[in-house]
Order: sequence, then C-alpha cells, then structure tokens
Amino acid sequence: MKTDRLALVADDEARALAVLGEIVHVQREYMREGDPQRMWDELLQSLLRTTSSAAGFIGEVEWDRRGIPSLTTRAMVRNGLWGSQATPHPDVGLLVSQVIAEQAPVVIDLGSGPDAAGSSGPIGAFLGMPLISSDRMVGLVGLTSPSASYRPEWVEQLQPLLSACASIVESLQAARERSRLVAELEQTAGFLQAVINATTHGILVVGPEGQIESANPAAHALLGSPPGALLGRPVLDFAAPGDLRAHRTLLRRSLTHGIAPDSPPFISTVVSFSGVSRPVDVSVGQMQLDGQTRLVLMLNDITERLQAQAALARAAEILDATPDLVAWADPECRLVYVNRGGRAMLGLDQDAAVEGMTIQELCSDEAEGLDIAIAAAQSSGVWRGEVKFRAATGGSVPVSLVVIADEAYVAVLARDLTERFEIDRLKEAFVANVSHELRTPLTAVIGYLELLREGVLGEVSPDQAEALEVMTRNGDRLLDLIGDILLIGSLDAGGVPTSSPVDLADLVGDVAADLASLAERKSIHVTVSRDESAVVSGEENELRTVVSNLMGNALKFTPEEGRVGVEVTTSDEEVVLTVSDDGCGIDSDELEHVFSRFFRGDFARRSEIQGTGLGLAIVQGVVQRHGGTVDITSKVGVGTSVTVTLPSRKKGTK
Amino acid sequence: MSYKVLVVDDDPDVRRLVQMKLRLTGIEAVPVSNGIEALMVLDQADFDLVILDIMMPEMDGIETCRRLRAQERLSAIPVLMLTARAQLTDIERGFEAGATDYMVKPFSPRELSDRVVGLLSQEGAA
Repeated sequence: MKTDRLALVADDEARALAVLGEIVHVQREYMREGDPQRMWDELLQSLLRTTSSAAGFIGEVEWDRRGIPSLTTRAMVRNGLWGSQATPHPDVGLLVSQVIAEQAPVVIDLGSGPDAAGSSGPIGAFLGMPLISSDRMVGLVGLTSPSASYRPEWVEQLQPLLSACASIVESLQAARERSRLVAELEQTAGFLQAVINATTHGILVVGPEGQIESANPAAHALLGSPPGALLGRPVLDFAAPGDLRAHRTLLRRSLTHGIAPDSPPFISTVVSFSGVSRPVDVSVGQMQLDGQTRLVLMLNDITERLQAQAALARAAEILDATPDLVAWADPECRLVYVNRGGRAMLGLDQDAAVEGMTIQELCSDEAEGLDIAIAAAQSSGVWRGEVKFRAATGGSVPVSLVVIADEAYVAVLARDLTERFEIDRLKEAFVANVSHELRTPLTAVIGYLELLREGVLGEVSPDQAEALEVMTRNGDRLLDLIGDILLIGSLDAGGVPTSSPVDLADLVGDVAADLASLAERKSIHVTVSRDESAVVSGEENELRTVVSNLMGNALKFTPEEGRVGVEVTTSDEEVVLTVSDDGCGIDSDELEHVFSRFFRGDFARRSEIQGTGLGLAIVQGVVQRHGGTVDITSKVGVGTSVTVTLPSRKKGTK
Repeated sequence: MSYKVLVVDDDPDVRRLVQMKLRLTGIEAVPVSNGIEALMVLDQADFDLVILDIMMPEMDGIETCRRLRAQERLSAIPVLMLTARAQLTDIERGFEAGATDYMVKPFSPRELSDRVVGLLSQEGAA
C-alpha cells in the first residue's frame, strides 16, 4: 500500500493535494478528541506517507524557565533505520539537536550505504522540521529515508501540515497547562477551605441583606449552632440585645458604603443559640461579589484573653501593693515593667516611662554588682545577694536582691534594707546602753559586797558571812544572766561576725584554766586533748562563751569524782570541738528542747543547779552565726556529748 | 611614799567604792564625776594615776584620755580604764586613745587595787 502512495507523490501538485487531504484528516482526528496517542501515530503516518519516508518521529518541545528545551517523543516509527531505543542512531540525535538549536528546518543527504553513518541503519537522508506556533517552537518532526533525497522545497510545501501540527501541539500544551492550573487552583481552594475549617476563628460571610451566607465550623461552634443552621439567619440575631441598635446602623452603612476606616468594632459580644454570651474580637473585611458588597466577619472568642488580662491586671495591682521593687526586662535587660514600689524606692515618678531603659540604668548600681548578678542569673537561673542601688534622687539604697533569668526574660526583685540597717544599728546601740545601765549598779553591789566579805569594813559574824555569800552568788548570777541576755540580743540583731582569727585550742586552754578551781572543788577529772592550732574565723568573745558554756555545763551536770573530756581536732575544712561528760545525761524527751531559750531540764531544777537556761541557746546561736553546726547526744545515766563543728580558717586569709 | 590617784566616774556609788578601796590600801583617791572636771583637776595638781570610766556624759573616757595624752606633762601618766562595755572594739578604742590598762565592770575591788598598785610600782621603777 505504501508503495502505491509513494508512487502518487511523485510530483508537487499531487503532494500539495495530499497535504491538504492529510490536514483535513488530522484535524478531523484531533477534533474527535480521540486517544491522543492514536492521533500522534496517525499524524506521523501522514507525514511518512507524504514524504515517502521510511522512519520518523514527532516530538514535543517544552522550554523551562531558563530557556532550556526538553524533548518528549510523541510518536515514532523506527523501521530498522534508527537503531533501538537503547542504542539510538548517533547521527539522528545530533540532527535533532541541530533542529532545536537552530529552530529551522534541516535537510541533509547523508549519502547511501550501511557504513555511511558507521552504525546500525542505512540512513540515506534526514529531514528535520520545527513545529512553530505563535512564534514559539513547540515541537519538531524528524524524518529519514534509506535512499531518497529530501528536497528543500518540500519544507515549504509541508508547511500547512506542519502549522496544523504545531497548532495541535500548542493546543495540547495549552490544555495540559489549563488542567495543571485547574488542579493547582483546586489544591489551593482545598487548602484554603481546610484552613478555614481548621481555624479557631469563626468566619461568617454576610450577604447584602445582613443574612449569613457562609459560616465555618468554628463559627458554628462559637454560636452553638447545629451544622448548617446559621445559613440564611440574620447576623444580628447573634448580637447582644443592648448593642443591637448601634450594630444595625453600622451593618447597614457598611453594606451600603463599605467599611469606614475608623469604624468601631462590629460586634463585641455574641449570644449563642443557647443564650450564652461570649465576648468576641471581630475583624471585618469586605468583598464584592456579583456587584454587591458582602462582609466577611472574623470572630475570635476572647473570653480567655479577657480572663488572662484581668488576672494580669490583678497581679499588677498586687505587685503595686508591695514596697519591694519588682521589675522585669527582656534578655538584653531592656525594661518591660517596674512596679509602684520599685519606682518609689528609686525615686522615679509613678508615671515615668521606663520602656527602653535598661535595668542597670534604672537601678544605677554603684558597685556594678548588678551586672555580675545578672550574668550569674543568666547562667544559673537565679542570683541572691545584697547590693546598693542609686536612686534617681542620688541617694544610696542598700537592697537585698534576687535576680531570676532565662532565655526569655530577666526579673529583678529587691527589698530596701535601709530600715533594717537602721534597726540593726539601733538594736546594737540599745544592747550597748542596756549593758552599761545594768552593769553599773551591779558594779557597786558586787564591789561593796566584796569589801564587806573581806572584813575590811568591820568584823563579819558567821551568819552575816553566809548572808553576804548568798548575796554575792546571786549578784554573780544576775551578772551572768545580763551577759547571756545581751548576747542573745546581739545574736538576734543579726549581722555578720567579725572575722578575726581565733584559735579554739587556745580558748579551750584558757577556759579550762578558768574552770580549774570548780573542777577541783567537785574532784572532777578533766582531760583536754587539742591539736596545736585550731584556727577559725570569728568573734573571740562569742566563741569563748561557747567553750565556756559547754565546759561549764559539763562540770555542773557531772557528779563529784566524775570525768569530763574536751577534745579539739582539725582538718583542712573543719575544726571540731567535742565536750563530753559522764554526768546525769538528758532524757530523750528533753533532748530536743535543750537549744530552746530558758529551757531547763527536770534534773537541773530538782538538783537546784543554777543556770538561766540560755547557755545552749547561745551556743547554737553563736555557732550558726559562724557558719557551723552543733550536735548533742545523750543517754540518761551514761553522759552527754556535745559536738561543735566550725569551718576552718583557710591559710592565707587575712 | 604616798600616791595620789584621780578617780573619774559619773556614778557616785562606784566612785565612792573605788575611793574607799584605795583608801583602805593606803592610796589617796580624788573623785571627780566627768572628763571635763578631770582635765581641770589634772591641770591644777599632780597625780600618779588616773582611773577613767569610759561611758560618761559631757565628755567620755576615750576623749578625755586622748586630750590628756595630748599634754606633755600627762603623756606618761598611767591610765586604767573602767568599762561596762565588754565589747572588744571598746577596749581597742581605749588602748588607741592611750590607756595603759583596762578592767571590765563589774570589777573586784581587790583586783582593782592590785592592778593600781602594780601600775604605780611600775611607774616608780621606771
């Protein structure tokens, strides 16, 4: 059949006629919108027929954004000329590239014979023609023949067919693009719908008559509506009754004239189907559809936000009630908030703007301790200590400072210590004055008693001697009591003890010597074992009282012929003082109270052992003030052991 | 050899106690009630020793001692300070002002006279 056809196209007239026929055929096929592959195949067959070619292909060319072409073969007849798909004829590839590159027909006579191209097929001639539609190359046709040469004028003659071909390719490409866009659009629409369905904001579209035309699930939920029940309802059905009049006017105006830029909020409270009122934040947009204005209402339930705001306002009120400074800032220390107390403390106006100021500028710390505190808090979360702030008025404010920080903020809490320092000073002065006022009369009493007892003021009868003895003992007791109470008072006044070096071993030696006569009187055997030097930091007088109270207790509560042991040991870190006796011991019920002020054990009261009940309370107060600990163990009838542990004074400390 | 001691204390009973004890020890004591008086008396007469209370109205013992030491004639006279304030800082301040020795109130009269005798004999030997 092909041979018949080939014979027919021998002359140009016939070829032109054939081309016309093919166009009609191809267009009919295309119009039929049949199977595209069949159409391509038939198109190629037409071209092969009209050019008497043995093999050929039609390819579509698409250009990407960078102008790089990509070729997709739509139809191909190999007929043994073009090699296989795996090993295509090399010349064909080159020639195709040339057509695409030049976007112009390529007609080449390759000569005949199987060896001409040095490969699989006996290609005699190649005819490549671009398919150009709307000045754009949309594809190409490549044809080969084993022997017959292609004539250049064929290109001209084939042009109508090629144009038709190009139009078809372009139409197909356009159709493909269209469906791609439609798919994209559908995807976008689907995405938007999903967003609208998923958002927690209620979205209502309000039509020209004020009726709801569309509502998302969140709007249904907000208004307590069954699905779909909102459609067609007037939107003002859901406005709070009190707001209705204003809203109606506003709605009508907005629908007629569009939304005014300074329009007040549209709805501030919605009333749901079940009558529940909820505060909402509404933003309104407008859109034109079919020449009419529609409003898009976005409703946000702000119940929780209002509650949070109220809680925040309450918190601010509470923070304003404290005289302490409370402030916070961003991680760069730029202030966000300073409470009323803080402003007063630093002498700032209550309404002075602090935003943008840094914490350091606010507090103008004198010793730059604040920078260190903030850096420490930022690395470890919290810093506590005492620094001095400088007030806007220039005065210095000693404060107890807490800085809290993380990646998100830096917060500063400060308590003014001015008053406390003043109270401490007054307490100290009071202690000193009371000390003086109480000791002076006792000086006269005890002094004259001594003169009387010495007999230098006249002979003393035995009864008088006993009376003087009792008076003296009680005078001494009163003096001890005064000393104890004043010491307790100064411990309560707080403050840090001076940090002079104090050798506990020496102190133990001194006190043991002082108490030697008492021990001797009761025939108590005292063993003292101490390291060469046991140096701690602190107030010597206070530490002497500790040693003296512990050893005094041991001697008081140990019966005659008993034993008392005093031991001082040292390590790099600690100095440990242990005072133990084999005295009466302390009942376990009483043991927990021995550090309480004025506590006196049953045994002490029954045996009329003198004391104030302040000794161990003082020991504990002094030791704790010096950063140490006190432990007591005791067993009735076996004895008592008190252990004081104090931090060792480091070598090289001043 | 008889010694003359100036006793400065604002409490008359304590003044009297010290005076009595010193008299019984054979030492003449002249009592005055404050620092200003003490300086005036010291200006008028020679004394062998001063017993000086610290806490007094008008002029305290520390200030009195400082002024007394400022006079060349009194720069070496023994000063025994009496203090009811047993704080270490008071004692340090006393020595800084020029005190020779100190005793804490209440004191034992016997110990006081022993110290006075000791200071006077040192003075005599010097």
